Amino acid sequence: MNEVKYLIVGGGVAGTTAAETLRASDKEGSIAIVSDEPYRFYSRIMLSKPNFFLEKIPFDQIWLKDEVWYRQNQVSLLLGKKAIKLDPQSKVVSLNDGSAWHYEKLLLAVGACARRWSVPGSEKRGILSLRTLDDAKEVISRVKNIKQAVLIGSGFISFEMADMLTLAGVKVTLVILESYYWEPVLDETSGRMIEKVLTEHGVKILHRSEVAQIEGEETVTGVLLKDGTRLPCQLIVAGIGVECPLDWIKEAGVIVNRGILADEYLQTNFADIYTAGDCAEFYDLVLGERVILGNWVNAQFHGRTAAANMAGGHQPSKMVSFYTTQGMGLAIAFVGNARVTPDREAITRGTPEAGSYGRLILHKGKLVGATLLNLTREMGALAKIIEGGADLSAKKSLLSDIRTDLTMI
Amino acid sequence: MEAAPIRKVKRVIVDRNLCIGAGSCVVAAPTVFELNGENKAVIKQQGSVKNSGPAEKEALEDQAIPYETLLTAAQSCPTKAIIIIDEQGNQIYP
Repeated sequence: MNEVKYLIVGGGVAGTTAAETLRASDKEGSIAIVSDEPYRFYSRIMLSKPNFFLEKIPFDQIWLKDEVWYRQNQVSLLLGKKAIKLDPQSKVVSLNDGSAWHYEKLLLAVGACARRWSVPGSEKRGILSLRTLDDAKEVISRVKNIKQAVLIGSGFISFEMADMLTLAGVKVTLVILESYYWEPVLDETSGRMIEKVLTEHGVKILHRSEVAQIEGEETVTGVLLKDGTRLPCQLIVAGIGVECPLDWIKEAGVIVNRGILADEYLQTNFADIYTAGDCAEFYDLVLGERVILGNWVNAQFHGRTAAANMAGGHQPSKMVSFYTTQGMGLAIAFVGNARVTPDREAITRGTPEAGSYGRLILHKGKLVGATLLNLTREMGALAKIIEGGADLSAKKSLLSDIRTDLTMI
Repeated sequence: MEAAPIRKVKRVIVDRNLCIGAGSCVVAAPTVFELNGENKAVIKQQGSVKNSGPAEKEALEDQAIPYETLLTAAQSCPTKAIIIIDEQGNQIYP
């Protein structure tokens, strides 16, 4: 049996930031990180960025901690190993190499996995989801030798991949189930605005379309759509969302919904077990609800907060998180909880014709999130409004007027 | 454990080619960084100047920003796009 004070499952941004934070406050306590990937901490957020693929950013920029860092900070890194069993009573995690680790505090920062795409032929080579460095390496090696690519799904990944592939001179067809890009997360106006730049850059978009079968022997050579259309391609990137494989955690009695349930301190239903990052379904004090927020800044902040609490603190995770991307002359940003549910109201701001368009999402009069197209400059002001939690019921017309300075609201 | 000596920051720079607008710096040091209309981090300086720098420490809008906070902001960047220079002209980070 191995003994460790702080055991962290997950070597991504949440887990590594937690290790760094723990070491800053506890110089002596032993720390171990278990990662099922063969790599030390790298910049997962960079994997889909065109500048990285097109080698405008040197490949080695991907590494965010060198080996010296782990050594100097005495963080044991167990690479290529999977946690398969958790016993919260005796406080032991078993790994797939047969080893067992007794912890004092455990952090579950297991992230999310790309959703499995179950289409006949989806086991062929050349079909990627772009979640791991290995996925990215394969895209990089393939992109130089291909003529056509098919992207599945409408979201950040497809947008960034479309930008990168068109810059690389690859013909891109986007196959989406929805009737406009990013439905229903965005409204149709926003979706069409994104489609306009995609189309202008040569991307062909097929709406209400679904892949019936992937063609090719070992490697993909094309897709057959349900309507009979054949699209020759040598690469498919399926950006169809993520899911959390949490079976071993659930079996241990940790309460799991879509993610691992936690309070605002990122503590699970077991006092010594915390969670952080994309897998955490935590109580968000700003939004006043339990949410999963799968983005870099949230995971980083969670890592800091969970670590502070594991080291004996009592610090709630309170921040307004966001995610941005930009390409093809369009800057996209999501702030807070941008999902519009029936009990929420979206106030629009700006117009596609003027080049900037956003939706401010209100819940019971309070701003809870926003989706912004070419309006990132207002993100800071919006985050402050969300955090402030003021009732804006009487200010809707001001909010919708693009001339209103949001820092004055 | 590495005992990092406390050094004085002279200058801050954002490498626009590296910046992807993840916004980690904005979370870590909101008085110094924000994202502009192109999703690039800019440094908030006196006289409403906002650009990618180089920005002298004494020209920052928040001159009192602690060294540790600036370093955390730089270290949290997922593309190592924030460069910090000390008073001797040496690069502190990355």
